[in-house]
Amino acid sequence: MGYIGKTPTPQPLTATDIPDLPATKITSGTFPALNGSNLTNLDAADLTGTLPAISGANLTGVSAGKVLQVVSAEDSSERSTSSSSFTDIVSASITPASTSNKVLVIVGVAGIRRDSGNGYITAKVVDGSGFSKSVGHAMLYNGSSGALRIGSANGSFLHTTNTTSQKTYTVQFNSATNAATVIVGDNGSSVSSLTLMEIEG
Amino acid sequence: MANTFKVKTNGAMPASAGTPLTLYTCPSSTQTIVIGLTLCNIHTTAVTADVQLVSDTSDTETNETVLLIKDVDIPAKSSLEVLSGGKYVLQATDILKVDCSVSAKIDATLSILEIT
Repeated sequence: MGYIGKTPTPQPLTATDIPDLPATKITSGTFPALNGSNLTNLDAADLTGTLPAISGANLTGVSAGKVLQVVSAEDSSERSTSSSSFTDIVSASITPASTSNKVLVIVGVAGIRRDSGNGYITAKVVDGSGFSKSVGHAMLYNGSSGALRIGSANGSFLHTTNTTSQKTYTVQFNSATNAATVIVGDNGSSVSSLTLMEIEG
Repeated sequence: MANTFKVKTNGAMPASAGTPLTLYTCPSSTQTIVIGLTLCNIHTTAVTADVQLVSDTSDTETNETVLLIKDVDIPAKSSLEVLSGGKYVLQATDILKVDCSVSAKIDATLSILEIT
């Protein structure tokens, strides 16, 4: 047959036109985009390699207890006081994503020393909005007036903030009885720390 | 024995799409050589066409009605030459029919040699 004028547009081949095409003949080209619904019989043993980086936002099926963010701060300065008024050691700020979330506060006050007199050192965490939690109360008695080193005071607690505003937590210490000069960060070689973790409520 | 060249034409075939319309019937005591058959699409869009050979003549075998072309595309403003080099022989009472996907959109031109 021959045409005068236009020849009909050739019809594209479909898969039914090439029912016996062996896979070895498919050597080039680009497959169409696939999604999970196309992978109906994928064996778990075929899942090898490295997973992509994920963040907490990818863990959408976890109902509670998920760590949403972590903030930490450290201080190694030697600080001393003989007053019952509290002195700041280290601060860190965190902004909860929801009022139902909680903040896990982990405190470490390192290098506690007494230089003179007998007394107590108290360490606490405040948030500047009336919240205060004592995390260490150490007795510094040994019957002499020389230096007395007792190491560190550590503590942790879960704070229900009920806010989505930024919270700034500060670790403080004092000489509880005004009777002794107490030091933290002994010789500048001890590191006090404050770590804040937002826990999904 | 006489040989007569003829042309048979039929405009705007068929009357009804899906019902093949007779273009030519081979007369009795006649053998016909089909020299050419051209189908012209007079529609504004593409159509498909069938050409049917109706035959029940018999000698050692009995003929059957067959399609020469089936659902062949003919673009708009185009014609299809059904015979390209080949020829058809028709025997007495054999019929050539034309059908189209759209009624009255094929102009058919048939060139024949009748041998009587």
